[in-house]
Amino acid sequence: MKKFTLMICFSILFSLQIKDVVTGEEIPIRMGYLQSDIHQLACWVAMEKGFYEKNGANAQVAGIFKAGPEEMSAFAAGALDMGYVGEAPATTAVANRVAKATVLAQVNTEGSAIMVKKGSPIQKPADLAGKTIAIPGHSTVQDFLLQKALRKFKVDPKKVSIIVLKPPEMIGALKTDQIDGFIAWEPYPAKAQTMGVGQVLLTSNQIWKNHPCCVLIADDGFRKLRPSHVEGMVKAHVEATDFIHKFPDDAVKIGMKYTGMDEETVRTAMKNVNYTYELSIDGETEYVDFLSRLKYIDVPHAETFVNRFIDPGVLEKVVGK
Amino acid sequence: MRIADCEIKNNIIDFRDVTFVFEGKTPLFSDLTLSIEKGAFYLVQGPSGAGKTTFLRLITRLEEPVSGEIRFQDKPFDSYSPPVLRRSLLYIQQTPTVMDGSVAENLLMPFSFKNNSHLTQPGHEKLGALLREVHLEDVGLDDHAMNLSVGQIQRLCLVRGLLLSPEMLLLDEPTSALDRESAQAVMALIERLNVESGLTILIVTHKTYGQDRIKPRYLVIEEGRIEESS
Amino acid sequence: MKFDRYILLLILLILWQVLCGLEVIPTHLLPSPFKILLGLKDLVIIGMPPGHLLPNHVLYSLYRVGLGFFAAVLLGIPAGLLLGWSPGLRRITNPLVELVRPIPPLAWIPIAILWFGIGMKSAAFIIFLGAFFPILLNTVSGVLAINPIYFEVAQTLNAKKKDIFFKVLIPGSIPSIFVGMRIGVGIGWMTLVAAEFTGVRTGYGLGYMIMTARDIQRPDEILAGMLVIGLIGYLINGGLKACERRFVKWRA
Repeated sequence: MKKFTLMICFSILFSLQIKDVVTGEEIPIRMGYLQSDIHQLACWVAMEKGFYEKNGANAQVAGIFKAGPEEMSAFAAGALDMGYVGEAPATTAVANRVAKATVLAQVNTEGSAIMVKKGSPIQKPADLAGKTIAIPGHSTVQDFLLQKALRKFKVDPKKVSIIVLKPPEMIGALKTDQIDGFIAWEPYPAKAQTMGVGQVLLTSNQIWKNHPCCVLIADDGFRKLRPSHVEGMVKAHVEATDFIHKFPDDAVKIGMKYTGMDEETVRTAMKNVNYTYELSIDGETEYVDFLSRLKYIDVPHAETFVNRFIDPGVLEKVVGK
Repeated sequence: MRIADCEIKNNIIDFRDVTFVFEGKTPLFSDLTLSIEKGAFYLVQGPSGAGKTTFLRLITRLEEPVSGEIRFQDKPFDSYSPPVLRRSLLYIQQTPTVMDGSVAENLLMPFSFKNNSHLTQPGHEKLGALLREVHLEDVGLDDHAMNLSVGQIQRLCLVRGLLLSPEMLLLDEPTSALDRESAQAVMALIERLNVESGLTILIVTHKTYGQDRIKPRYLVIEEGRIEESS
Repeated sequence: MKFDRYILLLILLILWQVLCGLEVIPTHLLPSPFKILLGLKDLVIIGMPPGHLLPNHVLYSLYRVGLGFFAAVLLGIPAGLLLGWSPGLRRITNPLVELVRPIPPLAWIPIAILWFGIGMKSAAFIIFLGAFFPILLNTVSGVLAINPIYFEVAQTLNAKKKDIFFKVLIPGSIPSIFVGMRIGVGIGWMTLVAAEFTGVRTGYGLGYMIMTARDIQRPDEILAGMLVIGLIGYLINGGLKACERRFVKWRA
């Protein structure tokens, strides 16, 4: 009886360790992206236009997340193979050794904005002192941008009350004066505008010009097992990004489908976003520095970390072709 | 002397054609007519289930007859307010019941009720005196009432009722939990109250009555009829 | 020996630490007990989010629970006494109570935010809902459990309805009321954390702290936070039990 129980215990422990070793064309690639985040339009374009299949990647949506940190938790749990996610939450998760992932390509730069109520007395960044501003979550790109803006425009962060709301809730909260402003990814700022509820206080471009925003990451374990699939995914991403520039009207339609928002909102939103796949090492270094100063992460050697975190090799191979 | 004058009695309670039924059962009493004489000493007897307790409860209005009328001092029950009736007709239940608290608190509790506000609260000497009469001299006024024995609680409940100076006492098995000595003390007190203070006494008991200072009248309840005998 | 009860706990802790050390249990899924203690230290010294220290989170959460719980007591006990007292009232209100009671407090969050806005009031409302029903129902059952003879004896001794209510009904239901309060505060405390997951305005609260620890990917601090929550719940329950003992002693 004792031996039997022991065997059961060990098999349970071991089965927790065994991962899916079997590879094959048919096994889907589990992909994640952020809900209604127009930054990640390339992902939706690739799905709609069949770029994944074309490049031999059987990509399946394994999760649609309300914010970056939640998506990174899914990576930590081994539930995703690749994902479109903000660079700040990805950095935090990997630096805190909760997820093992690598950045393979950029998805967009810029594309967020701090919104205040239409007709608000908040006219300039300094007016944010003493106000309540909503962010999608801690250690999101938007959290990062807000903190950066406060320091850039010399507002004491302690004087600003930060509240965590999911972006769909932000516009309603602004309308009913629950909050004085919010910062979110497009198309939520655009929607606040087209609804007549909000106006732009600062675009992310004004906070940090050309700042990298979303990235395409891959789980390290997945990369090791199926490198050819990884390459296919990155190639599909490159093709999709090119498509957005070549056929903007088609891209707008796809954007409308996946955000459920009207054409005016989507067009306004896309104007604020720069779709590119070119990686920025400097940008990531800035993230690491700032997140360390905020005490979100503790990285002794920023350079080593950045070099390990970003791997331009796959992109170079794909674009070179 | 006219015949009519011989008929005049001093009744404290009259039953006139009283019928009582427990829901869904055969009637306990049908068209019952009897009188309880003021100042008399009655023992109520009969087989178990005959309705002895119900008889007492009808008199104290804890139960209502289905038809017929019960009168107190020759006026119908309905013409009195319930507090007046209860002050005069004191019912001491078969199950001795005390509240969580000291002996004094239990004895004096009725005096905190608004309906009894016209009564003066007795002092501790009076309480002690009454306790002695029922052989509870060993019980302190500060003792926890719920720690006493069943027999002690039974006597305590009697004392509590007596403090309200009723006109009629209805007692349901008042000595069931008592030893011979205590039972005798309790009966002696009740008899004294009957003889000296004129309290009408109605006792339900299965015990035989051994004293011969008082000649009790017997009410035997059997098969829905109540017969008086000596 | 007093320490017998803790032996199982100790063995589990040691086993846990060893399995983490050998990396049989991956540390990003379940940090070791030692790491959790370090996480606790970080919560106290650095705070989560950084700058928001643990003691302040505790104070804010206690305040929210206090508000909700006391509202539940103030409404639940009198309502319970009345419902216990009157079979008619019980009959009329029973369908409503049985309909609302099974709705989990958390399901009320969107409505609460709609009615009370984001902040202290909506959180206190959620907690109130969690604590109210145990208090109400335990008070009612406390009243119904009183032996009817007590009411009859009081009636026989000429008690008015008001006397019976205050001198028989209330003292008799007190043990059940305390049970209801303990259950109520327990559920209220459990509801608090989830109620704080959304809509914390001040940036302080144990639920908010855990959510932020999740955002910033610190499972050690998530578990340390859970430990603190469990500990406080344990202390609150113990505190109420002690109150109950002292109160019952005084009465007896």
